[in-house]
This record gives sequence, C-alpha cells and structure tokens, in this order.
Amino acid sequence: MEICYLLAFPDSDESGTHPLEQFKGLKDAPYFQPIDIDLVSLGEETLIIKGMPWR
Amino acid sequence: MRQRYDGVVQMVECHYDLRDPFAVSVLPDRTKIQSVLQSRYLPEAIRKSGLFEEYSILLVKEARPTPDKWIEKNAHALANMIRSQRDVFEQNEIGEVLSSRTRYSARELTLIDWEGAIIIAPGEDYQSDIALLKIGNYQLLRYRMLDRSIEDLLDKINESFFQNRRPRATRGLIRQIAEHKLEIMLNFERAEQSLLLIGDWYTAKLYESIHNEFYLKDWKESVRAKLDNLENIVETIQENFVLSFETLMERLQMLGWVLLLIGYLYLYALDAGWIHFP
Repeated sequence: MEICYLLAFPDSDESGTHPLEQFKGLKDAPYFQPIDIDLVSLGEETLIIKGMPWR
Repeated sequence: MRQRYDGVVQMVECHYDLRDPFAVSVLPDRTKIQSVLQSRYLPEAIRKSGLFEEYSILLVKEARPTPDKWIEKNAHALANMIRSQRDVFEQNEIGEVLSSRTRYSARELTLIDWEGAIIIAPGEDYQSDIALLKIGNYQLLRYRMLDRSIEDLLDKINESFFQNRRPRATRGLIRQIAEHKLEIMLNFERAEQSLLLIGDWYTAKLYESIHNEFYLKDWKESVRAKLDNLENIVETIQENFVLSFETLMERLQMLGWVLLLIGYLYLYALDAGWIHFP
C-alpha cells in the first residue's frame, strides 16, 4: 500500500514561460477536452524523511 | 511531483510506501512527515494564514475478497485513517465517512471523504483518480482564495470609506476597487467554467462525488452571494461618488454665478458713478 499526500497553496506565476500541458489519462474520457485548466509541471524530486523515501 | 494550476495554485503530490496502514504508529508518523513536507514547500506566510489545502489518499493494490467487503472489514481503522483521528467513531459516523463510493469495475473502487480518500485499483492505475482529487482540492482552494479576496476588498472599502471621519472617495480609489472587483468576478467565472465533467462516464461520476464531498456547491454559492453583496456595495459607492461630484459641480456653478453677479453690480455701480477713484 501507498500513501499519496496532496498539498495545494496559492502560488502565482508572473513569468508565464513554462510550457502548458493538458490533463491526460482520465478514465472513460470523452472525445472533447473536459478539463480546461492550464497545467504546468514544476519538477519531481525524492526526499528522505524519517528514513522513508518520498517521491 | 509539483505542478501549477492556472498560474495561481501550486500542487505538490508526494508518495510513500506503507507496510501496515493500520499500525498504531502510522498516524503520529504521518503527522510528523506531513509537517516536514509543509515546512519544506509552504511559504511561511501561507502556512501562518492557513490558506492551503492538504489531502491524504490511501492507494490500495489488493482488497480481498472484494473492495466493499475489505472496507467493511477494516471500517473503523479506515475511518480513523481518513479523518486522521485516534478517537473512536460511532457506527453511524463510520458509515458517513465510508459512504461515498464510486466503482470503475468489480475490483476497482474509489472512496471519497472530505479529508481523505481510498483508491483501490489492482492494476495500480491510480493516476486518473488522483488527478481528479487534485482538481477538487484546487477548486476548493480557489473558492477559499476568492472568499479571502472579497473579504480583503470589503475591509479596504470599510477602512477607506467608513473608518475615516471624512471619507476620501477619490476617483483613483474607486477605480482601483472596481478593477479589483472585476478581477475577482473573472476569477470566479474561470473557476466555474473550467470543467466539463458532465454525464454518466466514470470520471464524471467520480467528480460529482468529489464535488459533493468537498462541498464545492456550498462554497460556490457562498462566494457568489458575497460577490453580489460586493457588487451592490461598489455600485452604491460609485453612485454616491457621482452624486457628490455633481453636488461639487453645482456648488462651483453657483459660486461662478455669484462672482458674475458681484462683477456685474460692481460695473453697474462704476457706470452709475457711485464709485469714484481718486
């Protein structure tokens, strides 16, 4: 089993230089794009907290 | 994994393996780890203000004999885990926490509560449901941010127009308030119209469940009501400002007439020879 922890907070981006992405892989998704939210990836990392890897 | 939504919200998604989710040490360990993650990613000001959302999801690869039976068997522990509580729940409370279930197949089930969720997927295909839960959290935070913006604007109006003895209704200040109001309204529309998760397909059903459990409808109505109030207040201020501007113009006009009359009388007296210059 696994725990997934989500943390959301206000963080505005004034530059707008990152490439935009789309939400993919929604189960049973229709032919149209149902989610019109600008999505930007900011990176991935692995942390070791209390001896456990968080990715 | 870190992502930014609509250029206004950052979403951090962290995963770690759990050998025994029902062990006594899980809850205090989770609390400590989440606190570390918060201090790493949350700016201090936001942490203090409380304007952020956190959400935990238990990802389960196997639930035997069936997802529903597994949930019933571990109901108490799962309810405590979702609500991050050590206290004992009443049976009806457990039922409430574990009630909102959406099924993709006989072996795949997602349970949603407003503080946490459980995704059971034998193929470890969790990402679609996690993406929707992230969107739900994003929308909830977006409504909270809008609510905070409206409150801040109302405070500003109160401070500028009612706390000072002599209100300083300047054209610039009113324009600034109107612009801020417009920005909030556009943000509200954006939060409203960004999703077309409608219909009978699985993702739409799951989103409906998230929408209900996160009380997004109530948030939307609350923000809309506050926006309507704000609009009325700003309109009243604008009307008042126009009225006071008109009054000022009328007074200036009256002063002009008085000056003209004095000048006319002076010229008349001069012409009649009532005034003599040495």
